[in-house]
Amino acid sequence: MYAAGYNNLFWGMIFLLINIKVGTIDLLPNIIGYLFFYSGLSILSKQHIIFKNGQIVSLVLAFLSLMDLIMAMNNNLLVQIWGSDIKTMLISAIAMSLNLYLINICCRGIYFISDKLDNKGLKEDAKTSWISYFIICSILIFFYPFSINFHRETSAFITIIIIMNVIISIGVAGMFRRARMELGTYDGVNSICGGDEK
Amino acid sequence: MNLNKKHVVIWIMLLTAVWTGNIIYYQRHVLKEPLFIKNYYDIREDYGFFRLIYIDNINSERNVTSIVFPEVGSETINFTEQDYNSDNRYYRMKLINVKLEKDDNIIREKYLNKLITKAEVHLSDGKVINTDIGKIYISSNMDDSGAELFAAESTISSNNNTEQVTYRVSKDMKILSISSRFFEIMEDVLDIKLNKKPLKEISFPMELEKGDTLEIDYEFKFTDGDIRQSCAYDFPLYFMVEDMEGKKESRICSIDYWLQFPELYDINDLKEDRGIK
Repeated sequence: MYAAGYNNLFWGMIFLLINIKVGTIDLLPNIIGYLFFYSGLSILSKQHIIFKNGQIVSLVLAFLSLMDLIMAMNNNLLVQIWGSDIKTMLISAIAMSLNLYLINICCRGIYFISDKLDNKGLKEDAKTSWISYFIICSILIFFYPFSINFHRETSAFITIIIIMNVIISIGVAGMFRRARMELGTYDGVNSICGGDEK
Repeated sequence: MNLNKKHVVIWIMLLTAVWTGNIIYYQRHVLKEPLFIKNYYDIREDYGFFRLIYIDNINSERNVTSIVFPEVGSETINFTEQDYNSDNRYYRMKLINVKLEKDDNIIREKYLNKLITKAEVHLSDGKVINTDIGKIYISSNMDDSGAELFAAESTISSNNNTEQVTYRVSKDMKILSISSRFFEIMEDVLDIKLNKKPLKEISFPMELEKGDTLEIDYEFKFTDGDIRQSCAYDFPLYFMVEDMEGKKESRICSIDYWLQFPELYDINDLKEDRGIK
């Protein structure tokens, strides 16, 4: 019964990962990804209360993505990542931080449910996914403000970090897929709620 | 897997500090108005145009809408504007190609033999700036009557604003003197050599025979902090020459210098020179 919820988390992650742009228009906009997250977390909040916290976060992120989409459509090609003004970059920085929190909620929920079910493999998978995602996103989040003052040639090394971010995000999506198969049928409402796991 | 509130607060505070520091540092580089480069031009009427250069913020969407040279008249001049180079960080260079109208003789005559030092520039954001653009002189009669005495054979230029021009002397002649409109500004930084000998060591008249080569090298040697290295130059050296019949003529050899990338300009020196904070 909760498989659909985890499936939505998986597809949300895919939409966040893949950016296919035609000019300034993103064919797989992040807003759809965050709406998938919202939908998935709405279903999963009945399995574990921790997922409820993520619903508001995913809605806020969907709104920020919509703003970003509108601004991108109004910008010319010169105002791309490096040409963005400070305001746009600050909004992106807030979105990146909230995104990190959202993934933390998802990973924590899967971790706690796996722990209750004594599913050590998935529990470790959730923990590893979260730690690697946290490290790589933190590097990106902290590098971002420096990018306005670095020479753009020296910023090319961030391409390696971005590639690693994609690989780790694929791992997180894979972990959601695994959770769908291993936790999807478990009715955890009465068994799992715990104050210290929020 | 639980989030430690203390760690979250530290993370947020650190991120805020990093953002604040970078924004403050970035804002120190933002220009409130475009910086026009000073130009020292002594150019021929038949060039058809001359170039003004300015530096603006890399993300700036403003451009120049009209230019007036108040020392010449109150009418706006014709020009085209083009993006040139950026430093991929803070600044972008733009070029203004000022057109000397060929069909409108009234405007054209107004420019001739006048010294232009100021420009009133109207920008698309509504701002008007009155800027010192150096010294621009457009000559109606630049004497190059001695061109047949020595003709250029080859030119070697480099992107550090040095040039070597080799001439072939076609008649026995003497170089009596060399002069330039801007020598007094440049003589300590413009290193000129004739046949590898510094100009200061040459005694005039300098005699040359038919078939001799005359190699003219020039190089600008600025010291750090010299604001003149952030200017543009385009002026001739006038060679006063005399042939064996005693006929005196003039030969022009051009000197050209401008920095083509914004990172080569000292923006702080330029701002200080303009009195801009």
